[in-house]
Amino acid sequence: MRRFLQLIAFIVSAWCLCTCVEPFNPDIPKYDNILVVDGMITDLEEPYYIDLTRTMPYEDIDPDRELGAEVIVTDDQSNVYEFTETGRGRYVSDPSEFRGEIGRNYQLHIITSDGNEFESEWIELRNVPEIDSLYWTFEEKETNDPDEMIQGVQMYLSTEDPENDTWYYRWEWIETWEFTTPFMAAGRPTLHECWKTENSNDIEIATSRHLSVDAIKNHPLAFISQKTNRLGIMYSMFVRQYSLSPEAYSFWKQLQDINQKMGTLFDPTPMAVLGNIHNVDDPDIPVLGYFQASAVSTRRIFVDRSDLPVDLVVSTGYEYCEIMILEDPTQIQIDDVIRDGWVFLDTYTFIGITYYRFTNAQSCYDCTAEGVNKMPSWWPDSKK
Amino acid sequence: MILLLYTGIISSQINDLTVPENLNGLPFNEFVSKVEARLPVRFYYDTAWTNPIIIEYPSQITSLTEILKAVLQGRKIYHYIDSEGNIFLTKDFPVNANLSPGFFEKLEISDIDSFISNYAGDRTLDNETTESITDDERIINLGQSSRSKPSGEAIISGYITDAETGEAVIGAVVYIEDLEMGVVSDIDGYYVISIPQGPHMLSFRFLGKKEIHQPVNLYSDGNLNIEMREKITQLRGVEIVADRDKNVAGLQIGLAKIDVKSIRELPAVMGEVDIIKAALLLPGVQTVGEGASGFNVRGGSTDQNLILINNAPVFNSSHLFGFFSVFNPDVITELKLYKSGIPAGYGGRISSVFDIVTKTGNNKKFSAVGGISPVTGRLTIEGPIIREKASFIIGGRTTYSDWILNRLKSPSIRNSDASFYDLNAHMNYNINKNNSLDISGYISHDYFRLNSDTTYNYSNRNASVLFKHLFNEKLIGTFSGIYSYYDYRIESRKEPVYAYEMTFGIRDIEFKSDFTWFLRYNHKINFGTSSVWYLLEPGDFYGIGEESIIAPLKLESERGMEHSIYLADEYTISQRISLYAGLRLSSFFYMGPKTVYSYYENMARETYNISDTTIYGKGTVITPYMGPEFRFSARYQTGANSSLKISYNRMRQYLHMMSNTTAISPTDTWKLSDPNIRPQVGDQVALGFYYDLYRNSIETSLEVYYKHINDIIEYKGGAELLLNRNIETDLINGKGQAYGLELMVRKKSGRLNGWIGYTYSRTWIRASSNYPEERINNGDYFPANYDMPHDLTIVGNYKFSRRFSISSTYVYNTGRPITYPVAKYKFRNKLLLHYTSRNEYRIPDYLRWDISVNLEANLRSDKLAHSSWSLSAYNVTGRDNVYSIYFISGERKVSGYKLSVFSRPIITLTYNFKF
Repeated sequence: MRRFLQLIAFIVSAWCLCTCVEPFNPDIPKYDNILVVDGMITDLEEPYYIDLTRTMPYEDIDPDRELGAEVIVTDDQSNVYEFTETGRGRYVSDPSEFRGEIGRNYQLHIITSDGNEFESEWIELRNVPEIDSLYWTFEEKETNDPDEMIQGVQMYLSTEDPENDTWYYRWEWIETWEFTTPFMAAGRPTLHECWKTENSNDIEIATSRHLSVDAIKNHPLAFISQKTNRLGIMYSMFVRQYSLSPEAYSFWKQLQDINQKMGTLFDPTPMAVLGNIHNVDDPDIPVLGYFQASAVSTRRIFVDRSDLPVDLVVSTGYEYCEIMILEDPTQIQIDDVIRDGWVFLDTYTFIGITYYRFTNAQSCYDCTAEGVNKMPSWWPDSKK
Repeated sequence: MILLLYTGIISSQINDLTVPENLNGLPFNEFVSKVEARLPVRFYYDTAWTNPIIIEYPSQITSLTEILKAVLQGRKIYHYIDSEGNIFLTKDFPVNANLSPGFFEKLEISDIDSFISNYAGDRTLDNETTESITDDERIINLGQSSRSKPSGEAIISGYITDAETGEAVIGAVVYIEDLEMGVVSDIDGYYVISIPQGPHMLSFRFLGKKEIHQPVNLYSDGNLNIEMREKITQLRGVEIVADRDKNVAGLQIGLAKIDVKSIRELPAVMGEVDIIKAALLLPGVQTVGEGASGFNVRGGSTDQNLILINNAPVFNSSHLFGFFSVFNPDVITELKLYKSGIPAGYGGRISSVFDIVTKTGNNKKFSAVGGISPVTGRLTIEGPIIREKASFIIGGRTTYSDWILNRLKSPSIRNSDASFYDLNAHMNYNINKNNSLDISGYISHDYFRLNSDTTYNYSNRNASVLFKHLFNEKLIGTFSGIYSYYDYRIESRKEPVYAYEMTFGIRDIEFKSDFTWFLRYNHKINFGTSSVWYLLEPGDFYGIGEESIIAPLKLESERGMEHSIYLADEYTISQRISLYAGLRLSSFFYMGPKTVYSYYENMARETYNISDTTIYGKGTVITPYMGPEFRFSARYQTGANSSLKISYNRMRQYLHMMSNTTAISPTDTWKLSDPNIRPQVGDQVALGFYYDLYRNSIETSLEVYYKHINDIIEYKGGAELLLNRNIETDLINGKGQAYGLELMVRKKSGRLNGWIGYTYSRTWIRASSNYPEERINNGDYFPANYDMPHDLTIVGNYKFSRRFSISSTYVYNTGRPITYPVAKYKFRNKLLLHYTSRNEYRIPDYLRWDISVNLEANLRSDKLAHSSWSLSAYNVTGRDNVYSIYFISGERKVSGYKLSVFSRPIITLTYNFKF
């Protein structure tokens, strides 16, 4: 009997089956210059914006704007609403003239300054249910380092349409949070406390199509990490909920797939995601973007630092700030320090000695570099 | 007396041959080559006998026979020259060289046995008394002269088995050296060959087995069973391609055979011997990336490969999403990969046939094989059920650790569990000389839990029963029943409200009959039938638990029947020309019950363009498809060592895998051809030139091919392939074309063996339509995901000594195509990317070098145990081969990343133990 008995196989070293990911920015010589339409009308009494920009090369950051275009929206009752150019490619409606109505159909028309004519498909302004609840829980997330955890606040949302008529949802939110600089300059106390506001830029969509009820339950929105300064004092999130048509949902889903969900072993092949706008004369000229219409329901939530665990360490965003104090400095000393890049903070006298305080950046005492120092009107007073 | 005279006359001219120069002092082998070069003779002998011999004879002798006499005198080696100039050397006994069949006819001797024993002293075999041969000792007289046929031809048939285990030796070459023709033993080790009566030199060859040279005197039809012994002391070389002599002499074009034993010598990832990874080293076989499931043959997509294990189709060939193949090397003997010239007996997939045969158990004694690699533990048991008649083999493999996943960085992968197992069982029963039965079963299962939540379970389950009957020596029939089932289940329970389960299943039941009819020694006919019933459960999605608000969704099952008949004729017209012509008529019926959607003609196929919904009842034929599949091959021998081959084949495919990701995944869905999805039809023309150098020790081949595929399936952007009732609205009809050139130089034996393969190939796909949403790249041809033009593989094995060898593989190929964004834009406060031209760019070229060092601890054959060490290093240079390049739109910027799978060397040490 002669057979192989493969008895043992052991590893001298198998460092790693490293699924390694590294930054890589290839040289992409090709570039297509295409019109991008970003427009939305709602049922709220507010100005509606149609932003017209151009695509940009891969390396660029800021897009070119489409100026001097003629932008109008028509509805199924032959009303025509003109949008006024306000600069930087933005075209705005007049809220006193134009307010979207649920159930009505709208179409966007654009004539660019070079004479190209574009129009959107007819879209219905669909209703959207109220946000049932917006809530948060304190959570810990794992990171790529098995020994490191990140703590923070996970936002959740639930909604339900009793009419069973929505099925596809999209959310945008605005975050506002209070923060303070590490140093307060004597005489300039108003620069110490600020509020910062940021718009969400994740694609956040969900569908209840596969469910027996038109409900979205415990849908996770943003995770607010301890690594930013959002949770330092008080944090607020304002969520806008929109409804989507099945086509719009599919559009957003594709955008999400090819922009946010790549990097697995089973990536989809990226393809052009075209929306509901086309060139009237030549359908082969592509247009990016989407003309959307939806009712809006909103909800605001606050997270107070005192509701969070006491031992939670929240980044201040000012970890780089340093302070230097000079006792009775000469002008030469002061000049030297300023020449080295220090910024004068303030001066005070204590038991006959004059102290000059310097910091390494103006932002270390001036919060207006990051935010605004005017408290929003809706900010809760209880904190004060 | 007459007898001797007769021979004398025949061989007199040969005896007169004179050796023109003095060859004294040469080693015997060189003497033979010199003589063969100058005189019309050919020697047949075992070099073991003649190795020490130095030629020494009186210089005045010039007659070849005299020289041989002088040289071989006293060494108990005898020679015999036949009328054709074949010189047979025999050891220990002289050849009674006078058994010409015509002569016996004249003598009319009835009791040939006694006659032979008187004159020749040899063993005689005939139809009734079958004897087994284990070594090349003496001439065998086969058959009886009284039964000799006027055609002058007789049939030799028999079984080739392993002398140790009684297992059938599949694919052994039976070669008639003097006729330069041969056959290959089939799945039961059976061979049959019809040749002219008279003396012949038969050789029996199989990789890793001692070659047997058997002189035979053939009178009439006879049985010759052969038992082959293993070559123990020789470290096996890397043998991966077609058999020796087959390169030039065989009719097959684009066939690669892989011997599992030789794969073991190759460096392996994490010590896991993998037949599919080894197949990727062959020209024309590619994959989209390391760790990707499936493979692409000559520009075909992964679902166009028919993967068979003991005739049963396997729908998912990978464990752990593609890192390991589902085939346990311990239970597999051989696999064949047809890239072109696919025989008419195979059908159903367009690009290739990957035919895997498992071992039959040892029918003499019990034995067990086991092993542990860093990834799996294995155990295989085999033994007799009825001694010498029936045997079984059961082999299993399972993972015992999640350590691979735990080493990965991403938390969602780190918190995942994976496990898999596979189990093979094979029972073989040789009922009698004319009937045999094989029953085999196969299960593979994978479990994967992603991020402690969603679990994936997927498994292959196959069973096949094969009954073989010899109607007579010339007609063999095999009848098989096959059951093959693939299913998966996805399940998530983390969020009770959304807890769900989704299942998918595909069932394939086949009945096949295959007949081989040996008309004459140079003429063979194959014919048969095949019927396949398909049952697909394309998706059942439902909530689990009381809280779940999931709405159940069950797609209608799909049914189809595929019936085919085929007839193929293989005819060797002359030594120079042989032909194979086959026709397979295949038909497919898409069956009810099913709801079928029709779409308005001249409109894009979208759900809003549905013109009609038809509900078909049970058993009704919804759509029939039918078509001929031509299979043609021809060989023309252009010289003694070279030949030219050409083949054309058409294949039709009725079952398609739906996958719009770069690498296929185990949860891809399958779809039958229906009124909206036409069968894929592929045509391939291949031309090959084969040239053997240095007495067949170096084989070279050059093959070119052109392939065209109609109705290839492509996908619209954002196609939803799972749980989609109107899946046809997300599909696009495409065309594919592929062409290439495959060059291979291979050295089969010697201290240094291995091969160099170079492939230049292109694969293009085109999806054009009147509707923009059904067009890709404006309807122009674009390179397929697996279009990698240059591919170079160097495989080498160098034996420093009989105990110590080094193997190395070097792989280079052009990076696969990838789509880069053509623009970036801002939309809803977010930076997004715009992609248009598909596969316009490429990832960096792939380059990998692996080394393994094999050390045999002891070579004494009488020792009970033999052990060996194998140290293998995968990706020695630690090159960061890119799997994919992708872009993520983050908070305020878009970042590009490259992903690589094995970016460092992986070193494994394996200890092998042999009883």
